[in-house]
Amino acid sequence: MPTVLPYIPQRITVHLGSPSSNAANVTVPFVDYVKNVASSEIYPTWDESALQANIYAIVSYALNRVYTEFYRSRGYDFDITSSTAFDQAFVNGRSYFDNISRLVDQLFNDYLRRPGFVEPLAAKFCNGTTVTCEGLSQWGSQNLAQQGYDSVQILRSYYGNVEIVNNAPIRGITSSYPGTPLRRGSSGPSVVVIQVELNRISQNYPAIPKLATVDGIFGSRTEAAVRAFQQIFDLTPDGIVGQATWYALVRLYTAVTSLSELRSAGQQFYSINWEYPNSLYEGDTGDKIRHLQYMLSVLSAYIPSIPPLEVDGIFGPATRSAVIGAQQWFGLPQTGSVDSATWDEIYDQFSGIETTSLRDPEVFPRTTAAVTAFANQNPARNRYSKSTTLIQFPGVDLQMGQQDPIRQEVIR
Amino acid sequence: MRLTDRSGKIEPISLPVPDLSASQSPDTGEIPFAIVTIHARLRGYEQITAEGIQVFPDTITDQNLEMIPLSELPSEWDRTEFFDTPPQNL
Repeated sequence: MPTVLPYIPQRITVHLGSPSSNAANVTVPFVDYVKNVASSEIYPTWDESALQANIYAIVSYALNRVYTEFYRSRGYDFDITSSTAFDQAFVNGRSYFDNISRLVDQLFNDYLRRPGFVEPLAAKFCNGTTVTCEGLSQWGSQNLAQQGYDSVQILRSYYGNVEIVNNAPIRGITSSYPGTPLRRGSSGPSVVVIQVELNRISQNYPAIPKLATVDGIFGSRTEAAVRAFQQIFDLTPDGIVGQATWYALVRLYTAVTSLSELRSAGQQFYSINWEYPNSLYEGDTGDKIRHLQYMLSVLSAYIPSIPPLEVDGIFGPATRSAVIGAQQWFGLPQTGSVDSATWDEIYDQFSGIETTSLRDPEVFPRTTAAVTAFANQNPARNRYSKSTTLIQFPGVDLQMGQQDPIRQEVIR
Repeated sequence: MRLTDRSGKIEPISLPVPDLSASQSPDTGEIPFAIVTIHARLRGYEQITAEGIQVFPDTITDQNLEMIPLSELPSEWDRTEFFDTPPQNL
């Protein structure tokens, strides 16, 4: 059964009113949306664990709306509303609080789910005084935090058994924070990424000093540029690129480049033919193997049974074990060679992911070459491109009179 | 009146705010934040008025304002953008 894992959208479209009302839509970066909602729903003076618990709930709720295409599947042209009667509060143009902003920078790609379920938890909440509900009580969460509960304990006391998914797929595909902070003395490809981003952002924010050489070495000039960037964007100006600064760089970089000419690198792959070739066996080499390996390497970020592999054009043992992992996942005979059924499953799964999460042209540039390569393929094979079904959670069968299957399933 | 630096930021301003305890439990009956109104102006751009901006104790409030360039023949009524922040539903 094809199931595409939830992803963090780059942007979310919010309807500024109740669903059928005649109100404007605004499209905002997902991180800004979460900061806005958290600032509109709760007080920044609450204990940090209460703030974290509420942010997890806010992220999960929004991702659930996106993942289930709750409004899009009903014919609306937005992902979520700003009305608290239907969704969570969003106030266009409002201020953020700096502590909430920092927490959201760390938590925006983490969400809640039930063990064994794929979809982000429809983590409903209400204030707990004038309105009560089955989900989290906002005042109750602060009360528990004051008693020393951590954020997971608070969430479990309202939602029962939930787990936190860290690093939702967009991270592996679009940016991949290297995992450890980069600082003066670091070197390597990740430093090149930072330097390129800083140079591009400095065109729009001239207070950031330009780096004359992009050499992959984190020296004093790079450090000064990082500090200037952090000062402008309210990050701790320590000159160290940790996760929050890394993602702030990615966001700003994608924001400034979407207006410019950098966005379509690597179009030379446009003519790839994704038709099933002949059967592929261990020992084969060539472009088809390269295509197969590329698809498998994308899938490996989503499907745990597929190990990551190199794209080298040679069908060796690593490719064979990835093929077996894919066959295991799809429920096909685990032969380790690629017949037409295996190819089609891999291609369908890949094209679904590519359509839902890779085609946004503003994804992080390290993968841009690979990503834009697949933008406009053979239309007959690309049958999911106009479909909403692939990224919808299959859910449960609907009964007459049932209103929201998600609610019945996850609120306990 | 404050002028921004060339990155569009101003130095933080500190303001008198209600006591921290006012926002720690639901039944204090006090408004737990100070309310600020900002007017922003730049020649050649629409003015912005942001109302209801909340300031809490020990917390910095960041208000982003995006200035929209004026058209060449502005009419009177479209010169100000208006944002209002209602309080939390707590």
